[in-house]
Amino acid sequence: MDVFIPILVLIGAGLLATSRPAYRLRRSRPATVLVAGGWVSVLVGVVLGPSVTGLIDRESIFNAVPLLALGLGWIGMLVGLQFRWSLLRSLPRAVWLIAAADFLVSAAVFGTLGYALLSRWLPEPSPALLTIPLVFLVAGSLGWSVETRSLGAHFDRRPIVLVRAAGALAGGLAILAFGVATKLVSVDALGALSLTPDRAALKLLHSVLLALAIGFVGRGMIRLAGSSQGHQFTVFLGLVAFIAGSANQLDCSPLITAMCTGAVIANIRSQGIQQFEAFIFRAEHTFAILFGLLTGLLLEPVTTPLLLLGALAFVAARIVFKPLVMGFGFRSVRPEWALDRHAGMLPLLRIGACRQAPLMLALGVSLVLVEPSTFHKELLGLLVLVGIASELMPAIFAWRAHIKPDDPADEERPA
Amino acid sequence: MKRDANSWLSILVAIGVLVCFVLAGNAFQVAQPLSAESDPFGRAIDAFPPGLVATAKAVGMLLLGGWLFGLLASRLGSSRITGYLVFGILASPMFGAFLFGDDVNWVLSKEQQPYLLLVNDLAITIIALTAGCKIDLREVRDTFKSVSLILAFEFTLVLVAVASLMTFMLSKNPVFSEYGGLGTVVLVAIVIAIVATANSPAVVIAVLSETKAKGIMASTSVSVTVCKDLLLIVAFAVALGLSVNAASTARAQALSDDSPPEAVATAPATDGDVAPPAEGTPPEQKSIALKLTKQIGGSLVFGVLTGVALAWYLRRTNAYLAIILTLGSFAIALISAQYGFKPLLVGLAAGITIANRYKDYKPDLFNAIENLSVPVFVLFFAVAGTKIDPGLLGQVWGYVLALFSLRAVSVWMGTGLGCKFSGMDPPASRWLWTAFIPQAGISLALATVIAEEFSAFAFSDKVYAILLSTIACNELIGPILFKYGLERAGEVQKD
Repeated sequence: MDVFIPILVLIGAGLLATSRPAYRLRRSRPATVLVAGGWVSVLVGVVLGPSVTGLIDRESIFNAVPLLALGLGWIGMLVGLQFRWSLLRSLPRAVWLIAAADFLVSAAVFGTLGYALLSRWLPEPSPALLTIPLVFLVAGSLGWSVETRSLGAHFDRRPIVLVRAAGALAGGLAILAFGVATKLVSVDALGALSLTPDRAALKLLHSVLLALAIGFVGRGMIRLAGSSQGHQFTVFLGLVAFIAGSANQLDCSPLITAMCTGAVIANIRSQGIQQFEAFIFRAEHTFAILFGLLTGLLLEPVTTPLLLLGALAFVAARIVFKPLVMGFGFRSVRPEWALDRHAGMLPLLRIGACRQAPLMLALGVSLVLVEPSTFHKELLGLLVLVGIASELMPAIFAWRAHIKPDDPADEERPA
Repeated sequence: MKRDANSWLSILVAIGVLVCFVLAGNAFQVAQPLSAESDPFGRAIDAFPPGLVATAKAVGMLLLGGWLFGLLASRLGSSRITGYLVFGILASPMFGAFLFGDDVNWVLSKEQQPYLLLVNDLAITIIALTAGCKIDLREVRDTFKSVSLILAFEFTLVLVAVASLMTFMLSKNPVFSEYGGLGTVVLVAIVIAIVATANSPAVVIAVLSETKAKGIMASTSVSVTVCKDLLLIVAFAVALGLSVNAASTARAQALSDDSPPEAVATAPATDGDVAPPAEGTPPEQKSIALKLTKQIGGSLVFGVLTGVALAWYLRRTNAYLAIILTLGSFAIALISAQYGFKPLLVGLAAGITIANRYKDYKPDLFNAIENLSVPVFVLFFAVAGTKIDPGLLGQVWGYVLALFSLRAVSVWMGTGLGCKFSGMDPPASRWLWTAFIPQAGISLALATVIAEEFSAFAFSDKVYAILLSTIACNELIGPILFKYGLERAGEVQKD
């Protein structure tokens, strides 16, 4: 295969994305949300991948698997680093309430929808066969996008805390639930799938122990690296790769292990830890683009009517239930936070909760890495379709409500 | 004192814990739980090749372990590069097999090695960019006479000395008494000697980066190494083409004398870069010239274009430079592999273009490369270390010692003569030879090419073992020697 063409296409896409017309295009709300969610890079990946043009073949995608494993480690770390104990303690009660409500509602609504879809789709649905895809669909529906700038209006800090913190907690819960589910099922000697809860518990314990050990060793190494950027970069990169790779080798979930390691590191007070956090957070955009691209290459586009109908049902359920959950959160803190002052922006934030969190793509990629079957790639395709459709909802809502998008310069302002 | 002891203890504890982790991980590793052959719809699953998913761990392990060993080497007064290499050797599956036999589950597995080599070209491109950025063409023009004299003397002396030794060794091989005689022996010996003349721009750049050395020795070592690389590519391709042709022709002749014609037709052919000789025409010469034009000319043109594109990006955007450099180097590595370009030349040409044509952007580029250089060096040299087989060294240590000593002496003499005729002043002239001892990636690649080209001959395995083991010795001792040389020449910048 000629590598020159996909490289040229990628360079062309990069140039196009950073050109003046593209910058102007980003002022339109649908384009803004697609860019902010990283969906554009997913679409570029789909176009370049074997399902559409085939410019990048399966073998080349396989070669990128170590990069995907590294990316999963990175994302797990990113989530885990937010779980600093002092920060968690200072979160208002409403955040925990929203996270719990979202978990229950998602489990009930998306669990039912997922079960209905899978039992019609799969030829012989057994509990063992249903477990991983069902938990994947529910976990992928947890929470919402924690990004609020692309919604366009200038929000006050307080309601945004609700959106972001509850979204981050949901992300952690999703990683935990999905990671445990993937270890719940294994293939027995006869080649049949069986449920093994004891194995799942053991793997969870493994992950925590591994995270604790690597967290403390990592702390020592970070201290040894001193203030030299090159040495810090080496240790940081090495730690992320080592965590993700070790988890894979030990058959633990790389996302859970990396998340736990991130949480351990976040709670260690040591020299250089802040730089490590900054390093992980700074690379977020770059990794999002790379990960989006690889996700697009891996997925199998959804084309069958049943799956399209299923995606539509998931989007509809998000539109109905997610604003309800968010509204419940706003109501619970309305008096003490004086949210009436921000009445104008609350509907937009509420509808913003429809948007699926881009973090959930990591779950999809993790699913494909567990077993690179067409079935899993189709599930990833389904998740992406729901993600893109639900991402466009707030934009359509804002357009219908005649809310003008802000100047892109304002978007860069920290919320 | 106490702080120093704590730091030592920390390094040793970290290394110990890391190794325990990996060995424990290997001992408890389990197969993928979902290892069904088909999905619920009966569609076959494209399983990942063995070792692929665990490559991320190998990369992490090499980065962390190599870096810790580098730190340890630096505390011991040695070069960090040697530390990275030593870790690579210790972690390699061949070292595990050497100690405990083939069945041992060692730090790295054989399945992971091909994937680790993918990072090599990426690292070479970044290293070449660094080297290119350090080359000021005006300075090269000013020092052209001294560079060419040093290069000519050093290259010739090493070539003659090693070729003589190899001629002596190979002439004892019965293969040549049957096929080809002394003429073929000399040609093959010259090809092997060319590998001995090679040294490592990567090590030179890495040691200069580590020591932040500046001065005549530092700049001359980069110029000579880079120019020698160009010369080497041409010389190697020509000599290899001629020697493979001579040896294969003689072998085919000998076989046709002994066997019926159909046996000759089915005799194993060398599937190398050069086409087998056709009757009446010398296509090999045309093929060598074409290949060289494509390889060198194409690499230089592609490199200059890359440099212009990079400068354009620096002027237009100048953001996320480290990421752009990493991805760009990866793209260069992929394109080079596809079109037969040399990533080293591509990176070099790109770096020279920016350093000399777009000087305003050089500091930005250089800073970004500097930040990337530590992980790139760690990974590159640790991966290079994993290719060294300690078992081989034990089998051919006598030859290795002879070749290593002869090469070192001839490098010292050749460089000394070159420095004397070019009028270079001491102490740089006294220690410049230390820059030409290290060998690494290019030498290893050339040795592998020789082994492949002559795979049909009985001498190939032994020559490969000797070359590989000598390169390993030069790889390990070279950086320490060069660092020492730079210190003695007074060019190391104190922090």
